[in-house]
Amino acid sequence: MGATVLQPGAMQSALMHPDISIRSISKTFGSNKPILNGINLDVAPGEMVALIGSSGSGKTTLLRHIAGLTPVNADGGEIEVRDHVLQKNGKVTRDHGKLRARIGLVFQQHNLIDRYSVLTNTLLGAIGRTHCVGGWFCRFNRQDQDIARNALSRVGMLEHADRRADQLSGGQQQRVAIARTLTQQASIILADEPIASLDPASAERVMRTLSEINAVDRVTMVISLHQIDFALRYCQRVVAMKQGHIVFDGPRDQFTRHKIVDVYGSDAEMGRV
Amino acid sequence: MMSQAREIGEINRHEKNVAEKRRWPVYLIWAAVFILHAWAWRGTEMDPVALIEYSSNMASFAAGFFPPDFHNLSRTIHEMLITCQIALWGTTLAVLTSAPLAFLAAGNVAPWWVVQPVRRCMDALRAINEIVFAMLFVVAVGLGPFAGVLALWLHTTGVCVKLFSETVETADPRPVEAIRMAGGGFIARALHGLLPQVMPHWISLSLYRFESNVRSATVIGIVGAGGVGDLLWEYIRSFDYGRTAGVIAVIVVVVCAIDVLSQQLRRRIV
Repeated sequence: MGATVLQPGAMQSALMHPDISIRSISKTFGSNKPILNGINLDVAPGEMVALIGSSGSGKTTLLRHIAGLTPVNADGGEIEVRDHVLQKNGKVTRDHGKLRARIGLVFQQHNLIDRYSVLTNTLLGAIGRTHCVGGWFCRFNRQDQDIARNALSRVGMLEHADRRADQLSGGQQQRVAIARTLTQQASIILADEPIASLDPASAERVMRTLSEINAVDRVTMVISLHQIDFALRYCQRVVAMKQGHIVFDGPRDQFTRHKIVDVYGSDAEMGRV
Repeated sequence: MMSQAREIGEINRHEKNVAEKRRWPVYLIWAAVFILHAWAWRGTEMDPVALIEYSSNMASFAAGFFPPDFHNLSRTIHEMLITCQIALWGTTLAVLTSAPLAFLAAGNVAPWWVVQPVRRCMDALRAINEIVFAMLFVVAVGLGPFAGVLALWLHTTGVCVKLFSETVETADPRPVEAIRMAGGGFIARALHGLLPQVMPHWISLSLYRFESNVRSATVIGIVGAGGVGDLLWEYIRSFDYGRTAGVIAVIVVVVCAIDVLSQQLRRRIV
């Protein structure tokens, strides 16, 4: 397990220039109760943060906001990614495409293109930096092909490069999705419940892969998880959400049983989480 | 015990009242359907008695078709092939035109101010029958199969854009989001996120339209747009019902063969 430990000087710099900076964002869909309510969060470069909380607590919505896929409420708040404003006062900035290319998103359901090969799916990570016509017809340059093959090799999927994506297991598809973000050369990876639909062995392998990428490439990661044991084992920092609020933000060793009960209720004590 | 039974009785009565109230709209709908058909009956001058009254005339007319005359079979087959060629080009051009237009007519891809004008134009193309288009094109480009191809192209484009855009609207949005996150633009999202999902349906619908266009192409020949319809009209006008039956038999065989073939292909693709 590759836990990243920041030195004191680096820590100060990281806090001054966080990779992700969220200020007072809220989100309401229609006239319902807010899904996010006054969220403030900084994520330092190279951090691996576990975002936990029960279903409906706002984890996915928060990740979609950081990815620039959903605009925040127009009544204030902003999200900065690597010192560039991604969205402010309900509007995603015009050059969000360039910023978004730095953010890789790993989805719960992998979101691969079923009829494409594993290699083509991985190469699609490079579409943002490929000449448009080349991208339309999957004509990627030699360098990107090497990057994609290397990414597949890192996640242990190179031998399946020519197979169709829909012929793979859930765990294998998730590893291809991670390879796609590696090919994208994202400096931030957001993962939305990446192991929710996987068996324990596949889940372990996916988390190990993410942890290695974080340790070796110093890629900043925010991973929403339902499995607290995985969160505590692989992530140095835990951010817990409840009803649209952040109710805990700190190192994993401070996320005690008492805090778990605070976040999940008494079910946690009975071992249901 | 007694009070419980009374309570159950009240609940049953209440449910019965609610069910009775719910039935009224159904009765009204049936009444409206009946009135609509009665109104249409008068307009179409429906006369079942005439069927019986003129049955002997119809029997002698039908007898004229038997036995079918296949003396001119080679010409019939030649014209039938032209009909299939008209259908092939009409369908291919329509499918090629419809593919990009389908994305512009899909509410989940394009904004409403693009979707609405595209859809209304396609409504217009569908509203005008192939035979009307064929008559117009015969005037524009002269008698012959080319007018037929143009007529089928326009009408089929109207149909295909509607059907194709509906499959785009039901496609899974998640792969599109993945391409968007990787930095893919509008066209890349459509080509990689949507097209692989809708392609099998589009191929299936295109094959179905080809079948249907073979049938349409036989009719548009009647107004001079080439193919077997031209021949069919020639025989009907000269009251040569034996040869008319021969042409109809060839049309039925070819249409059935194409139907079976495309059904097999569709099964393999989807």
